Amino acid sequence: MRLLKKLTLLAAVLLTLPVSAQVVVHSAGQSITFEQPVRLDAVLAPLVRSADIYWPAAALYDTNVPEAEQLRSETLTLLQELQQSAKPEVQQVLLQLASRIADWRLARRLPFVIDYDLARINLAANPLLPAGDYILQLPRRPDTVVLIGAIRGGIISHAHTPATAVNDYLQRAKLQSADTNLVQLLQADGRLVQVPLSGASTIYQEAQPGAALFVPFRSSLFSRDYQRLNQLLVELMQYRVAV
Amino acid sequence: MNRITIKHLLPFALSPLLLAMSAMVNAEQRWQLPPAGVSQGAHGGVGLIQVPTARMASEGNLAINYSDNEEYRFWSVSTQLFPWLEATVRYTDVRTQLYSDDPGFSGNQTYKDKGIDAKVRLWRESQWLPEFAVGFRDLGGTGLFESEFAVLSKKFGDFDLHLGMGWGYLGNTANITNPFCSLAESFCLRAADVGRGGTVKYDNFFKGSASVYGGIEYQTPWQPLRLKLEYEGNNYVNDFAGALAQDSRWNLGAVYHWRDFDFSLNYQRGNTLGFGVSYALNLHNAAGYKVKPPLRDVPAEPKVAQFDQVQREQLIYDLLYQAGFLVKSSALADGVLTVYGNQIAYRDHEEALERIGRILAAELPADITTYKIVNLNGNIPMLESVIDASEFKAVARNERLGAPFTSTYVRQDVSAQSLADFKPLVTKGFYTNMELFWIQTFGSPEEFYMYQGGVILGAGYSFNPNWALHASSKVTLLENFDKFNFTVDAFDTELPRVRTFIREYVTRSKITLDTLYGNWQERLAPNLYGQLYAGYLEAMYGGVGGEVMYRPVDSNWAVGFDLNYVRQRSYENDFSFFDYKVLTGHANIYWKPDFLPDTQLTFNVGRFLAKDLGVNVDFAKRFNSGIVMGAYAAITDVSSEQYGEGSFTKGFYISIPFDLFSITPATGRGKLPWIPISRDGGQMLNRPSMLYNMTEQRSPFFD
Repeated sequence: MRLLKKLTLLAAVLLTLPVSAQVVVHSAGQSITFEQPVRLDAVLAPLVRSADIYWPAAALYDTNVPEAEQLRSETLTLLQELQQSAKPEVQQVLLQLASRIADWRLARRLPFVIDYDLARINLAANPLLPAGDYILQLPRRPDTVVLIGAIRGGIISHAHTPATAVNDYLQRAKLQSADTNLVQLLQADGRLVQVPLSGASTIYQEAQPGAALFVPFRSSLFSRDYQRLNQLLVELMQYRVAV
Repeated sequence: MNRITIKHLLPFALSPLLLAMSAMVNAEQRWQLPPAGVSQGAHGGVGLIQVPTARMASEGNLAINYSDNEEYRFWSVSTQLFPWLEATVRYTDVRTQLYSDDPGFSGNQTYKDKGIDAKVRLWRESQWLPEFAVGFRDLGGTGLFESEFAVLSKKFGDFDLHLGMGWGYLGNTANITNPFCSLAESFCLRAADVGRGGTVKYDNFFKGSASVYGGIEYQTPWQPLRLKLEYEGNNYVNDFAGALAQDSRWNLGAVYHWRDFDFSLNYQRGNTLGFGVSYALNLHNAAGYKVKPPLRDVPAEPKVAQFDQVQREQLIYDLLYQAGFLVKSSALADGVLTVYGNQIAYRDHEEALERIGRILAAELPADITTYKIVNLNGNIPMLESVIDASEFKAVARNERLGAPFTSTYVRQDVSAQSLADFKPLVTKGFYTNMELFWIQTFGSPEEFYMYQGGVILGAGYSFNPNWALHASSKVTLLENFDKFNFTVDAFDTELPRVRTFIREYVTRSKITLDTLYGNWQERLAPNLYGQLYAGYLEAMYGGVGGEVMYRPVDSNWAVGFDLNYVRQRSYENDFSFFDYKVLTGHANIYWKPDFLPDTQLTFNVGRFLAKDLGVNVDFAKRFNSGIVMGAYAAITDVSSEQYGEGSFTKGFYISIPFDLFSITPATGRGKLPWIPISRDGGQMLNRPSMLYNMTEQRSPFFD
């Protein structure tokens, strides 16, 4: 009897342990499961051989991000509130933003450069992934730049063109109520770049293929709501898993 | 005019400093063409030629400028302290006027004047609105160029347009009615009194004649070349150099940018050719090349199973040469290894701790689960960092998804257990040290730049961790102080001469006894330190004193008290005293406010050497390179009439980490002071050791 109890217990442990310690990596429609925490090079090994990968946009995401969901619901609430009083042009955009953001897949981009060669020779570029659910992105070279915020359509994809300043992408798409003094460029490699676009501080900045460009809404002197919205959207944009 | 500076220890003369700075690497590498930057005006500070604009340099920018326009030569240093604040100091050589009418006093030296400018940005440029700044020129000087201005700048394509209004020197033509004059009668007239200098003449601000000025800058298609055109509001009728002919109010100029230099050429007043050169470096990203031992890898499996098997001599050697940590003592109990020592290299505390941790994690067996690093100053425990060994190893082996090392340890006050276990092997013995010193004054009557440099040779004996006897001797190797033509100024002063005998002290002999004192230091209680000292405490004073300080670990404030009974040392020989005795002491408050990034404010409230009561306020701003710029002022119950020239004690300094000049990681720093005028009011005792410096690593500001 005692032995049976022990065996049952052991079986239970054996059944539950592997499940809780599993590393699941989703990449390009397939899911790979590892029974143990695994290093990045082992995850990359089967995936990198044939693919034509655009490495600057390669990224690893951790899907356990309750804070991002919190951020999303806060943003959606604020979008809804602002719709009540917005001008028709802006109202439309806020609606479009809300519907697109609700569909975003959110995850935390891990701060690693994904480089198979480097990972194999350097421990510092080869993190151990503890148990969890991950998304690994090894995309082909994207051919678009995504514009988000105070632009017609709320979120649109614009064809990426080489040697083009970010300002050029905005010219036709931005709203009247866009604040283009300082836009935020989320490069494909995950760096967030502040791009001043007015006066003496203007800089020339190109976007990587697959970059996302946030154009803030102009905020009023009397209300901080749009300022808050801009802040939320920039934060949320960094959790967005580019497909 | 510059008269006297107090002794300061300096590691470097100015010129090697500049050379070394220019050899620094610019960390920022750009792929794309850099935007054409702003440039300095003739007086120093971002501007056109004679007139300032609302533009600011990049944060942390330090520009060293020289410009020449026939009657005036300007040397200036301009710093962008915050993105919204520019500060400039300037010496002007007026070539048409003599320093004084008395050739016995100043020879044929021409007139020198110093000035301080400040410019504050109130509004950033946006798509439609211009940048807006307000500034003050020649604040608190003798007021040769005293003026205030408000200016707008707006950029359109390659053209940068500026429109401003100037009062004072910048507004002499009065091409417009002073708008404040129509509001209040008192704004219509500006007092012409030059005064003693040194005070900020608030009551003159925005008064008298006003003029509109403006200009345009053009970035030529050739990136390094910029052209300038300005319309100025000064008519040069009341200039100190004498009335200057002005054939045109339009000045034009060109600036050519090459590496870290700007070369400018201009044509002013329709009749005068001017030129200038400006060198810029950024205090935020100035850095040097470094040669460091590689970071130690932490193996998955420990090298040894037992602590007995650890090669302890090698471990101590590695800690010294790979982490800059000099081990003084250690203790092992219950899986906790405590290592006591001095951090003598690696000024970045996080880097130092990472290096120590990696060595310990690589060499120690797995059953040691906690590393405690106790940092000492001399032999007095200061700070304890408790490292969770398994977490540290996991981070070092990249198993925590990029978590920083700071998540694996806590910094705290030294625990009772660590104090009890601290049994250093060697606590007594002789020691020696050597420091370089450099005293400099600008604008003395005898010679514009006066200097004295040499070494301070120190020696001492430690009786135990707390008691030591220390002596030091000042040896002058290089100076032009032999050109002094007076040693004590001729001013009548009501105040006791607590500092103004300085020239007597520094010229008496090439070799003098600087200090000779006994010192006791102790950690009195958690977060509380104390010390006592007695003897010849500094070049001008001897006596007894003590200090206590409460400084929690990683707190943004600290507070202390010091009290000293001192007697003035004779300048006639090394050992005797004058009659003047004083009880002096201060409550010392140190505060790093959250609203000003990387800034420390220090308040010393108490009784100063001339028995005056008041407060000394010190403002220090740290840049990312570790360079600290500071300014201080003492406000006491001595009136500016009693004080004399300069009106109150004030000074500036720049503190530079040795690490910037060393190819290997180093700790320590040197201080370059600039004290425009120093007299007897608001003077503090130079205590031979300060608890705040001793306890720096508990809540670091400098490093």
